[in-house]
Amino acid sequence: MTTAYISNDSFAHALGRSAVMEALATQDIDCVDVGSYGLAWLEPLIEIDSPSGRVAFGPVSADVVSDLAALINAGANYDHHSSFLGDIHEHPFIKKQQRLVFRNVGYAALTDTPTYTTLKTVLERDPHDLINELEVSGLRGRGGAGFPAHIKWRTVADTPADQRYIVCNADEGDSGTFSDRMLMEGDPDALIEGMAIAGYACGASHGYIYLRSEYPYALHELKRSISRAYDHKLLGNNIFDSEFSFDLQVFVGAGAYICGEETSLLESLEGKRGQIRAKPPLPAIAGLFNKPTLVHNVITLASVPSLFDLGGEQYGELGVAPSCGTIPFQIAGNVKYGGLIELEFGHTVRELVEDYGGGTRSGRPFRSVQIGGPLGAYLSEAELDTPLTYEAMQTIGAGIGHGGLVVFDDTVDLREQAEYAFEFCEIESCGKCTPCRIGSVRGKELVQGLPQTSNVEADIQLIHELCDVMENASLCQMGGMTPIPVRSALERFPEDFR
Amino acid sequence: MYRAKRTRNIRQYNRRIPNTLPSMSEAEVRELLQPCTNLVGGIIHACRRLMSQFGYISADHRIILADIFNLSVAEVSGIISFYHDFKTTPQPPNTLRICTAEACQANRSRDLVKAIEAHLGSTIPCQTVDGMTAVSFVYCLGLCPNGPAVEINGQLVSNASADQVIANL
Repeated sequence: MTTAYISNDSFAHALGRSAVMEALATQDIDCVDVGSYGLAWLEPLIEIDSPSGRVAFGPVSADVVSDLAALINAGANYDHHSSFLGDIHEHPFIKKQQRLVFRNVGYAALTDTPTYTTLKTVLERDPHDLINELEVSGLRGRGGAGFPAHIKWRTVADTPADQRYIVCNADEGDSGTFSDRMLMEGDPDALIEGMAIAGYACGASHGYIYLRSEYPYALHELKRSISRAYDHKLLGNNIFDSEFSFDLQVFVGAGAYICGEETSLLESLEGKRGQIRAKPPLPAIAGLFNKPTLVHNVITLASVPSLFDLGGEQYGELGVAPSCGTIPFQIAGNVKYGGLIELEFGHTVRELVEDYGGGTRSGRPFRSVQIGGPLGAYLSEAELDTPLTYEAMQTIGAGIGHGGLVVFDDTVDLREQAEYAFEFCEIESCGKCTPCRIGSVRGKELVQGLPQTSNVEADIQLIHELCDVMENASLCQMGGMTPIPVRSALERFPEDFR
Repeated sequence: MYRAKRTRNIRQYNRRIPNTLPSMSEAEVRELLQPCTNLVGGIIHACRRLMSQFGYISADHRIILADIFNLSVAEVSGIISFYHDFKTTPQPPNTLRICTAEACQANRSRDLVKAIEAHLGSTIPCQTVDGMTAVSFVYCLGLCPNGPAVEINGQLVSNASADQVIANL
């Protein structure tokens, strides 16, 4: 009897997992659903038990399944099969990674009974002590802004209130990012445990996960894990027989990118139009229903259990202070080997694009990489040696954002991309403030008109001025950061605009 | 651990037939939405229920929503119009959504869109001539390394080609 561990990630579903399952049904093989290791080009990936541990195969099709079954039944050697990958942990894409948040993803079965041992340990400690340890670790928000997590936690904990909330921002709308999705599909218990720990440290008894509607598989896994956690009394009243109670619900959004902005998310969660709120007051002081609310991205909260397992001090030694710890980077777009790469801060962009990504998928020369989603900068070849830390990226006018890197080959027209940046802002603007609502429309028209205009330089000057207004006068980062891709394209690739 | 089950080998992306559900009475709609009233952000849950039941949120529904959630009809319309997922007109039974985000653009999604638009003879978002499929854009399906990505009736497809997509229209 053979056991096959099958990736149940959206990657696998989109690359023909159902046909593989059809083929497996005809064989004498037991199936176990697991998450994805993040080697997107090798999906659907399966592992089978062998005397030397699990061995991986990918990409797997129905034909590969019947080949494998025949080899196994005959007791023959399958090492020479074209899709044989061997021990996945020795794969060059995985071997040098430092997986903390994603330590269980890909390996642990989705049906494993959760234990939440970290939660159990921290429940015996003083909440303030936990926040102090978080400060030592130097954990910063992984959603994009990189704000020190301990300040948020302490503010929520210290603001007097009868009710506090933990809200997880799972509205991962940025292009080129999928780490939140992969984590929720591959190890939702890490997120749930992290939220419960945050709830204990901040004195909150309710949590909400705001999930985008484009992730139905993540919703399925989250719901299953939450109800299982309730069944095992790891959520609900008096967790581990302590005084601490924590309730958790999933809230599905309705297709609005702006709801990834924390105040807009809270409005949406309250059942309103997802229009942003002016800050201050910060959500940590007056958030959901005007109560102190800790809003964190999926990866930030899911980092919490591994952080406390490792110890704050040791976690803080990873990376380049003050960019501490590990971050799951995602390499996508026109790359040969795309996927998820969790590393400590400080590796260069080139390492990710060339060593991991293996160059462009089209085989054409590299031209640009956009870092940090639709509001991130387009970098040129010359900047590839920049280390990936919040500080180093800032010095070149870019940001890490949510850790997504989108690679473009030499067919890309940066004028089109700049136009798209404005267009995206036009479609997704919540409409509350004028610089974003109107500025995006005028910006799109200006960039669109560049090929026909008689005075290119004057129009480019106008675009720069418009960017100044949007950057300085927008209420939130949607309008405030749209100038980043536009300006970076204008400055680094001026030939595309003239 | 489980055994994979053989499913009936049906067409790859289940095409849906037009909605033939009998219309519901007001009392039935209220009953459908009742569980949402106790939830945080209940109206969003309620709109989602209406979308999955009817495929759109009609003017009558908006009046019922306003009554249940103690809002004006204008406020309800404001909420519905804000979110891309909510529609106020009847929708075709089948959906095709094409990702237009940057990562898919890097893998030639612009060419894919042009080819599909040429086949349809109109610009997306639109419906197919037979009114059976709504074709629209989506911003990111989270399949960024394997673009272009499309979603056909809720099923995800990576490395989509124009021929493959057009065959399902």
